[in-house]
Amino acid sequence: MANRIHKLTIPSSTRYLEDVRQFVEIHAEKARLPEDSVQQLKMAVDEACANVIEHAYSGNTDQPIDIAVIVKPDRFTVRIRDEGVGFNPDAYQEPDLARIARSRRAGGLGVHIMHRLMDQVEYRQRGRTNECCLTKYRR
Amino acid sequence: MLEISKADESTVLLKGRMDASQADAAHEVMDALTGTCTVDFAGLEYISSAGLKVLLATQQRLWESGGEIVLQGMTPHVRMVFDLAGFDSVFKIS
Repeated sequence: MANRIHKLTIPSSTRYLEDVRQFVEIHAEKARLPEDSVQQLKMAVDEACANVIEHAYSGNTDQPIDIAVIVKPDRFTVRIRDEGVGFNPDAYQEPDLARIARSRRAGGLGVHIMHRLMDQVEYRQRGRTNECCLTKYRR
Repeated sequence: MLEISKADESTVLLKGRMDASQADAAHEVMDALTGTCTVDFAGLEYISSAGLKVLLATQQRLWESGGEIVLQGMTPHVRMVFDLAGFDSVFKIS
C-alpha cells in the first residue's frame, strides 16, 4: 500500500468540529481501521482542534487550522497545524483526576484523553507553525 | 447538534453530540437543574472533554446543595470516555 495523504482546512471555530470528525471517519474507514480505532481517532482529533481554537487562537474564529490524514501501511496519522500560540509539551503534566473531580476546573483533560486514546502524540514547531501528530498503529 | 429536553422536573434527556460547539447550550440547561437529577444519555452519540466539563461543573454545583446528577443509558463509546477521563468515580452511573 502506497502512502496516501488527504487534507482539510477549517476556520478556527468549534462549529466545524463535526466536519473534522466526519473527515477523519471517512478516511479511517477507507483505511479499514477497526471501529474502536475510528472512534478514538475522531475524539482525539476533536480534542486537538478544540485546544487549538481555545488556546492557540484564543477563541478567534477566523484563523486557519490545517488537517492532514496520512495513511501508511503500518499506521494512520492525523496531523493538525496552526499558526497560533504554541503548546509546550514539556510543561504538560498528567492531570490529577482526583483534583479535577474536587475542583471546578478541568484543565488538561482534553490532552489527557488524546494521550490515552492514541498510540503516539507528537508536537513540533516549524517556524511559526505548530504541529500536532496523532497516530494509531495497525495491529 | 445536541438536543436537550426535560422528561420531567428532574430528568434531562440528551440526544446528539455534546462537543465544544454545544457546551454553551448545555451549560444553559444544566445551570437550571436543582436537587438530585437524572441525565439520560441513551440518545447521546458522542461526548468530548468540553461536554464532560459541563457535567463536572453541574455536579460540583449540585453537591454544594446536597444534590447530585445521576447518569443513565450510556452507550459503550460514551462510557469508555467517562472511564478514560476518570469520571466514572465522580458520577453515579446506572
